[in-house]
Amino acid sequence: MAELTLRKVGKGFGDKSVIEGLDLHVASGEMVCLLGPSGSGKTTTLRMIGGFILPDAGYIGIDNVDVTHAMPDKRATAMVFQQYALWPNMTVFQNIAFGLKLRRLSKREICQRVAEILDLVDLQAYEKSYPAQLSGGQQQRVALARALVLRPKVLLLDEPLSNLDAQLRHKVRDEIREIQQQFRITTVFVTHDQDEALSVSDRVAVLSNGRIEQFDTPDNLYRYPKTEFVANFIGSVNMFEGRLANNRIEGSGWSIPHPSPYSQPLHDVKIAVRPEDIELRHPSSSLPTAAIKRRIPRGHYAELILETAMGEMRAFVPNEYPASETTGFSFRRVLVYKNGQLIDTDGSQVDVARNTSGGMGS
Amino acid sequence: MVKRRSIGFWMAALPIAFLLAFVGLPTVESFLYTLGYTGGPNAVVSAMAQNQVVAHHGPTLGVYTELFKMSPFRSDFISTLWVTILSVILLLVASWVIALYLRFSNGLLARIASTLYLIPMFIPSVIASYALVTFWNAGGFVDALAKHLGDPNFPSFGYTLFGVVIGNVWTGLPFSVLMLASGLRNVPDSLIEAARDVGARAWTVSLKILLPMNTLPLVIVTTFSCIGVLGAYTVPYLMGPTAPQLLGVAMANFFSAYNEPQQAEAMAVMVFILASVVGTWYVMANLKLDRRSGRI
Amino acid sequence: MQTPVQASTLPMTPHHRTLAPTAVMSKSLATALVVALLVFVLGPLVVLILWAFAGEWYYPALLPQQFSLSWWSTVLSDSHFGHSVLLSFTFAPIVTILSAFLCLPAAYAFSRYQFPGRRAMFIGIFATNAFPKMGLYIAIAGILYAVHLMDTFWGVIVIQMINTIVVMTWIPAAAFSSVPKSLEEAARDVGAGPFRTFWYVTLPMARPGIIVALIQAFLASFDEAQGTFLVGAPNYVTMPVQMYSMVTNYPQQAAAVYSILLSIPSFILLLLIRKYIVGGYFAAGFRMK
Repeated sequence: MAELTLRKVGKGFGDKSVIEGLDLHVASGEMVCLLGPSGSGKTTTLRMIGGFILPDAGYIGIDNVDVTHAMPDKRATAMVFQQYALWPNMTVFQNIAFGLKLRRLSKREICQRVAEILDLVDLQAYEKSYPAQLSGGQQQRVALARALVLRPKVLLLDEPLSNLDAQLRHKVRDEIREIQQQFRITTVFVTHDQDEALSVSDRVAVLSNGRIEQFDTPDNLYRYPKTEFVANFIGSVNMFEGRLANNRIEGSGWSIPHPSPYSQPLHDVKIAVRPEDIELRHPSSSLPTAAIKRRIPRGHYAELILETAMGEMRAFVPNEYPASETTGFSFRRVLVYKNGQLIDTDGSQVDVARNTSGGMGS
Repeated sequence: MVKRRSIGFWMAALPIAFLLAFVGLPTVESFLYTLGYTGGPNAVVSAMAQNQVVAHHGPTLGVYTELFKMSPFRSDFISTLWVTILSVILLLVASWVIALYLRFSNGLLARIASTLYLIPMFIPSVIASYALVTFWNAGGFVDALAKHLGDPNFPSFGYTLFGVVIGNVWTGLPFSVLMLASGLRNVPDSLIEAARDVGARAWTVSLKILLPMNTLPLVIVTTFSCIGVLGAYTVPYLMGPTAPQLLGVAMANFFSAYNEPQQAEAMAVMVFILASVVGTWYVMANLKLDRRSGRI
Repeated sequence: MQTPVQASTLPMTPHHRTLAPTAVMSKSLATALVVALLVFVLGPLVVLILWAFAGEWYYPALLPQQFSLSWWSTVLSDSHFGHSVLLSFTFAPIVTILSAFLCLPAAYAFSRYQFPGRRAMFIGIFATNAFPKMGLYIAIAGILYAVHLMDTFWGVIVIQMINTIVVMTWIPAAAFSSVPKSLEEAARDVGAGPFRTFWYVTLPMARPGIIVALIQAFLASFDEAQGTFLVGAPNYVTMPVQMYSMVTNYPQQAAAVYSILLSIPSFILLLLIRKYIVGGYFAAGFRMK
């Protein structure tokens, strides 16, 4: 049980800044995901926490102990690497026992702790196997066991599922979460897969260009994406430009009612609507209309591609929805962005201060 | 598929046929010659040879026992072993350190080092030996430098066995570092980081992770260096002492100076046997690696 | 299968090198190592170059007392010199080309075909390396006498080719193996026949490895002295053979000048392929597959 703090952490490679003034606080026993596209700095951040890259500026602390400049072997973190990084010349047992041996534990204790951890990841039978003889999922579990056996204060996972096939990915994902919950171990998890991030973590930090766009619970990220980037990155969204005036959202050739909390008209805003928030209705003069271009079956729902005055939009509808040629529509819920920031959701002015603290939920 | 198979065989057979004719056959002939058979292609050589042991009733090891009765030869033989072992050990240690350094550094200094270790490959061995003996010899540059630095008793290595060791290390360095550096490059960074993460220091990483993961490059360097040094002629001829002589030089002298080709061939066979022992190790190491990776 | 090409494209994060050199050895230790390497490797060569330009150099001076170019004109105007240069540059290309014709098909076969005796043949090529060259030359001399090749042009060719077979087979074999089979299959798929596929896909991709092998073979022939002396002397005295007599019979300065002249071709050729050698094409040849 330990808390992890990053304050004003910065890192550049050459004259290119990769991370700038990054703040992150992970509470004890919490599982946090660093989510972002490639090049967003998520792996760099993780490697700085692990001590594989030293930051140029800022502070990294584990339980208020300054580890900013400590080498990897001198900090209480353990990393599970993307390619697992199991030593091919050692058996499963030797891989897991290596760190314990370096700590000069007695032989009996080493055996006992390795046995315990192998039990946990359900690999008792493979103690004497070499990594090359194991499947991807098994290798992944050995890598996890090797990290956990040292009882680290903070567990770091670098895209741990990216080398597994889809089915196994779900299984291992749940296993990791289960083990994390069981030990209540503070965990930082890097991924570019939003599905993965939303389903395992307590909170997710969305990174873009070396900055945290939003640090929030999965639910809040989806419902209240603080920035345009997050809205686009998490889930799917329809985005179009318009202006807020007269309690309506107006564009060229269309307008829809929207109770604006702002007294002044606002120009150049972006409206985001989730596909499931588009409601198809009988055409009427008070509603905008859409032509249905295509219907894509998605299993338990269907996706419609709509041609509207605002541009092309996607809507999720129940399977049984009859696909007529044209239809009216309205929005159940909209998000309004000005200069990339969320200013209005469903007619309620967003308390920007509340969101920037990054302390929502949990 | 059957057709493809036979094409492969005939393509591969070309150099094999050449080697059989010009290496295999002479090797077998010379082996028979050392057992006392002087007929066939050996007739030309044996016609002018002195002190031959001829087989009258089946093969004889006479020439070998005669050689080992001569104390100068015994010391030649033992010196060859020692020079080989010492050269290879020094070469391995030096190359490993240089390769490790190159693996983890990328500054100006490392770039200089990565050019330096290759240079001996650019220099023909005749010239290398000549340059080295000029450098390390009594009255040479090192000697002069030692005198200037106030150590007139600094040993000079020209025309000594250790001089030969220096020559072997110098000429063997590029091959050896290339092999080890290439092996080290194949170890992904994450394997090293994982070891650092669980608390291993640089020394432990080198010994417990990098060394066992590079057995094949190490075996390659050891066997090829051993074989090269055992049969070397140029370096010991130009850098070594007149006595004891290393077998490569002794062979040439027995053949041309003493006109005793049978003795020369016997030495060649002995070197071949020593080299085969080391060579078998190389083949085994390769097969073992194949088996390990073959099943993955 | 480890190949040089794969090795250099190992999946790594763009910012690797996370272990500073200081984590392995301290800066001063590293400097000491490089300086030691510098003196050990370059020292003898620098002294040799000084000798080539020395008029007088008496012990224990650290530099020549007098510089002179007179030995250069002596060596360059020597008729033996021109003759041996011509010979060396005749033998080396012929040996290289013959060796390529002999070995490149085999290299391709070793890398792409499974046939009975494949491994035994591959090991057999290695085994020829184990017999000491001097002993081999003596034994071959017997055979060359018997077939009247002793002291002939082709006798020297044969002797020099022996040293080129291993590099000419192994290094290109590894280079062919590093070409992914799927690329060849893709070429076949779009309609290229086996020869077109080889010519336009396999060969260009294996080219660096083949060039390394060609130049190594050229140099092996160019630098060969013992066998050439044994088989070719006194009619075929190539540059390195000449060097042996220079070392023993001529003043230091003349030998030094001759050394530099003899080193120039090797130096230029190796410089051309340096990046391929360091890139792993050379090392890859020594792993059996």
